[in-house]
Order: sequence, then C-alpha cells, then structure tokens
Amino acid sequence: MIELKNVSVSFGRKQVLNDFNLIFPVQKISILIGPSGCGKSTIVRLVNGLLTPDSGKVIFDKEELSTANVRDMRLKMGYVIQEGGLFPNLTAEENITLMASRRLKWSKSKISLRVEELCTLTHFDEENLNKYPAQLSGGQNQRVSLMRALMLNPDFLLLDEPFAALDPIIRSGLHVSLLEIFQKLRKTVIMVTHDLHEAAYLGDNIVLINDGSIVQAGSINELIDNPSDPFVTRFIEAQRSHLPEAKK
Amino acid sequence: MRFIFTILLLLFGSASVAQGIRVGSKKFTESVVLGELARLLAVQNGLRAEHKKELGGTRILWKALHGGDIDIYPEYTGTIQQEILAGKKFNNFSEIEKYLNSIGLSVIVPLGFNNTYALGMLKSRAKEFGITKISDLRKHFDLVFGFGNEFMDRGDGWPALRRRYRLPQKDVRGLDHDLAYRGLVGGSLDLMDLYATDAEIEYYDLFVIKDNLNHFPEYNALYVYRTELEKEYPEFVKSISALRGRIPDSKMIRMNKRAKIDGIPAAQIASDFLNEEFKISIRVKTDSFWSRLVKNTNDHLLLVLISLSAAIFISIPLGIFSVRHPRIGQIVISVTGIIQTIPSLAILVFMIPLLGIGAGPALMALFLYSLLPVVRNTHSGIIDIPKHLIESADALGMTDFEKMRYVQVPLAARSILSGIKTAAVINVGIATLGALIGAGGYGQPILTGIRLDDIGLILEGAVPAALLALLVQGGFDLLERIVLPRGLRLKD
Repeated sequence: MIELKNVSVSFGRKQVLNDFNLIFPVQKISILIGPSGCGKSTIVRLVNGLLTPDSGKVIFDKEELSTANVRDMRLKMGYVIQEGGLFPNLTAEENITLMASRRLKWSKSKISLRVEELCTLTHFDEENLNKYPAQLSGGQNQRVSLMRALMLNPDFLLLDEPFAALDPIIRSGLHVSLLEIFQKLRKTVIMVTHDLHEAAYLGDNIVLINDGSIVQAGSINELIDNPSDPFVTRFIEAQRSHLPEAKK
Repeated sequence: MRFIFTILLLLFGSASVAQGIRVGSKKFTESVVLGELARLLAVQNGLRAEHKKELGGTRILWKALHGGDIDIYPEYTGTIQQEILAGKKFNNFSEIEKYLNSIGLSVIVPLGFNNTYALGMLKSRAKEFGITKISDLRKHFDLVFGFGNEFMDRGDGWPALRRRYRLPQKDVRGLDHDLAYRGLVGGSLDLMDLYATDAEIEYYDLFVIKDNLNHFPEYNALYVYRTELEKEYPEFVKSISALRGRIPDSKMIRMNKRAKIDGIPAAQIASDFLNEEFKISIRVKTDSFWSRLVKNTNDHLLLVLISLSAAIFISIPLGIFSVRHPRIGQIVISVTGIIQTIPSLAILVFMIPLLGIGAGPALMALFLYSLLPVVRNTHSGIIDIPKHLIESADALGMTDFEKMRYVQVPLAARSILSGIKTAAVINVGIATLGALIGAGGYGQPILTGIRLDDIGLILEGAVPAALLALLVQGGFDLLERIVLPRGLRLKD
C-alpha cells in the first residue's frame, strides 16, 4: 500500500497539491487521470522521491519515504516515463541490467535468466538486446523501459504517461501486453494518463483529479453511472469518440 | 595546485639542473654570440656547458641568474644601471659592482665595446627632413617611430628620451628590434632605436642621429656571473676573464655582421674569434636540420603532452565538482576564464620566480591555459544532458557516483573531448613561446629566424607547429570514434 498523507506541494507561488490524501491499494492498478496540469504527474514524482513534499508524508507499508531511505526504496519501485528515459550510451540490455549487475552484483546467469524471462513477458525480440536506443523504434524502446523497471522484480510499478508519445497502433499493442503483465505479476501499479480509453482498459481504480484535488475515485462504470460532479461527466463526454454513429 | 607544482618540479626542475656551466643570452644576435663565447670557453676547459639562448628579455635572464638557473650571461653597464637597478642611486659603476658582489654576483667588465643606444633613420629620409641631431626631431611631429620593446619602458628609454628632448611624436610602436629594421627599410617606420654595434647600421647605410644632449649612458659590454663560480670552476672564470678589454667596437660589429648579414652560425663566429685572439681552436659542430627537428619536436611534444595530461587529470573532476556545487563552480569557471585572459608571456614570466626557467614554467603556463576549455566543456556537457535522463537515473536508485560514472560523464563525453581538443590545439600554439624562457620547442628556430631574418629557419619552426596542430586535431577526431560510446555516435 502507498499512502499520501496531508501532502502539500507548490512550485514557486503555484500551489499544486494542498493537504492531499490518497491511498493506492496493494496489487491494484490505480490510474491517475485528469486534464494537463492537474497534479497527476506530481503525485507519481512524490511517490518515487523525485519531489519532496513541502509538508505531509509519503508512506510505503508503514515506512515513511525520506532522504535517508529513498535510494533503497527506489530499488523496489519500477519507473517508466513518457520519453522512456533510456540511456543512449548503453545498449538495451545494459539499460535493463545496469543496477542488477553494478549495484546488486547479480551473477551473469541470474541476469541472463531474468532478461530472458522479461523478453518473453514483454514480447521483446532477444535479438534486439544488443541494440542501442537510437536503433530501436519508439514502441520497442518503451518495452525496454518496462523491462528495466521490472528487472529487480519491484513491489511497485510507476508509469508516467508511458505511451503518450507513441502512435495509436503501437500504443494499443502495448496496452494488450501491459494488461497481460499486470494480470500476471499482480503488482501495486500507479499509472498516469490523460487517455480515458487507456484508463478504462487497464485500470481497477480510476482516480480523476482536477486542480489538485480528487474529483472522484472508482471503477470506470462508477464514474460513468454515478458521477459525483458535473466535471466527471464533462471529462468523460469530451473523450468519447466523435466518429459518426454509423461507423461506430 | 601545490601538488601539481611539485610534480612538474620533479619532472622538469631536476632535468634542467645540469652539471657544468649554464650560459644564458638575450634574443638578439650580439648576446647570442657572446653567450657562445662563454660556452666554448667552458667546453675548452673540459666542462659540460649548456647555452640557454634567446631568452625573452633582461628580466627573465636576471631572475634566472638570481634563481641559480643560469650561471653567467652577457649584459651591459647601462642596462644594469637603467633597468635592472633602476630606482637605486649609484654614483659610478664601482659602486654598482660592490652592490652586485653583496648579492652574490660578479662582473667581468669592460669587454671593450660600448653598445649604446642611438636613434637611426635612412640617410635619404634624414636628409629630406634636414635632421642631424635628436633636437631636430621636435619639428617633425608626424614621423613614425618604432622601438624595441625593452626600449619602450626602460629607465633611459623612450619616456625619458621624450622628456629630455621634449619630443611631440604620438605614433610610436613597440616591436621586436630585428623586425624594426625591416619596417625601417620597408618604409613603414621613419625612425628606430639602434644598438651602436648593430651590423645593419653599415649594411643599410643608416644615419645615426646625434645625441646632442648626451641622454644615452654608456652600454659597456660585460659578463655577469654567480660569484660561486669562482669556487666551483675557477679555471673557467680565469679564461673568461681574459676576454676583458679584448672585444673593441670594430670586432663586435664584424661578428654581428658575419652572423646577421653573412648567415654564419654564432658558434662558428665565436670559435673563429677565440682562434684569432687566443689561438684556441675548438671544433664546433652544427646540428643538422634533422637532428634539430627531432630535438625541437621532442621538446614541443613533451611540453604539450605533460601539460595537457595534467590539465585533463584536474579539469574533468573540477568540471564535475562545478556541476555539483553550482556556486563554487561558477567561481571555478570564472577563475579559469581569468587565467585565460592573462597574456601568455606574462604567465611565463610570473612562473620564473617559482619554477625558474626552462620547461617548468612553460609547463605550468600551458597547464593553466588548458584548464578553461576542459573545465567549461565538462561542466556544460553535463548540464546539457536532458533532464529526463538524469531523473531516470535517480528513479533507478543510482548514487551520485553511479550517476556520474554511467550516465553523466559518458553522455558529456563528446563535449569533454572537444574541450580537450581545443586545449591541445591552443597548447601546440602557445608552446612556441616556451623558447622565450628556455623551454625549447618549435619556438626556438622561429626566434632565431626572426633574429637573423632567415625565413627558412622561421618555417623550420612554424611548419612543424602547424602540422602538429593539424595532427592533434585529426588525432582527436579519431579518438572520438574510439572513445565515444557507440550509442551516441549512431545519431549522426
């Protein structure tokens, strides 16, 4: 379980989160959704310690995140961002195994076994492991990024708009893989997106955020059937397909 | 910093302390010939002798003699009085001699000739303006004057001369003495300072303007040496003392002419003189073109390689440090930037009291000049890495060191390398100035070439220096392909 307790964050004069509270349940896929600038990315960055709250706490299973433990905690958190964040000077495999080999000193056989497993899981062609990010497509790079996040078998998986930069066909392929992975691994997942379809397809628990506060949290059906606020309906309507009825 | 000093001292300080007699000379022909005379007399006494010739100026030689980097060099009474000891009051030269003895120095004086300063013009020009004495210059305020750099600011030089004669000329340029002759003959200068024994006076048929107010003091030639030599090498002091009074004006002018007009090597001229005057015969060997080239290349490469390696060793960590501590980093970058703006010759001279003459101060100056490009490029290379990559490294749980080792330095490699390349190319160029303080290198033939108006000799230094710069450039381009992480090269 990850809990944000009375968290406030501001950037300069702008208050992004004010006395914010949220719990991400264990082994559930929580989706943070909302318009740009609503604070959803800020929440993920708080969770992995890239941001420190002005006040309040981030708690992992009773342990509070602090500067002292943030590095160790990060080894238990996989993190995938929009641009992938792969290091261009390293091959796909080096990107995936960097921490396992350099920090944790895993044996070669343990590493190659794990990489093989991940390739199968993410449908990544092992032949591409020796290629550099510049030689791979955007979709392949996001699979590598996902493998890197999963390498140490973390308890938590954080995804910050991982597919926003990809074209729709590749994105939908990745959605299928990701759902498969989520179902297989049963990790506590936090994913940020602004795409309602993605949220509906992948998420157990959708948290709609606007202007730094939670508007409504629940399943997609709850949001559609029992909107707590006119904003929920407006947000959903805005993302419904505008294709003509006949072609739907 | 102190650590580097020590390393450089160990490397080069010791190498320059050779056994035997170390002679110095200034970068004009007469001084080099007198230096060769001293060297040959040492050789004749069976001593090892080294001639650090064409050092950059009176101050450099004086500091070197004081610091024990050289044992003896030729000087002039007027220079000691007007420049070296300017500001101290002496009634006559024997008082000066007493003072010198008190600071551990002795002189052999006079050698015979008086190489005083004079002002000279082309005869035709002087006639055209009706100039015979310096006072006549007052009426011709638009004449262009070109003076040797030392003359521009010495006690009896241009400022004092102008005051004495109340001269109105504004267009006064400081330049190398040997180059001034070319300016005078070529017509870009109307008037220059002459040394009375310059062979060019006769060769170019120059008019020596009368010093009607007796402004210029006597410049009697002498040798000044460390008094300790009398104990260490008494036989050498004895034989060089025999030169006292043996070189009158006529003989010095002839030797200067043979060197500058006839192009005979200084060593040969010195040897001929000793043979004629003292029946001493010493075989002088002249180095072949190739052996000179090898020696100069060797000196030059050592200067560049050692200073650059030391700079890389210090600058990359300094650049990384500047990223981590932005406030102090800004200061570090500013300081290295300020060093860059100090003229190279000034840095060389600043280093002499600390490191003596020779390779030591040259290495230190080159090292200091190399800092800025490498520090700045390391810093900017790291700062310019996209933020999301640094955050990815953080999010993986990397320590600062891991982040530096696996992400920041490799991603900044291209920038760091190009900083090193810039430093190396600059170094190859600045190292040619090393010859002015006795560090050798490609600057040596350039200095001699300027002195003797010998284009061939100038090219002997300039061409290899240019080629070396190109080679360094090419070498680094090649290195970039090897060192740069493959993933980064794929982009282009």
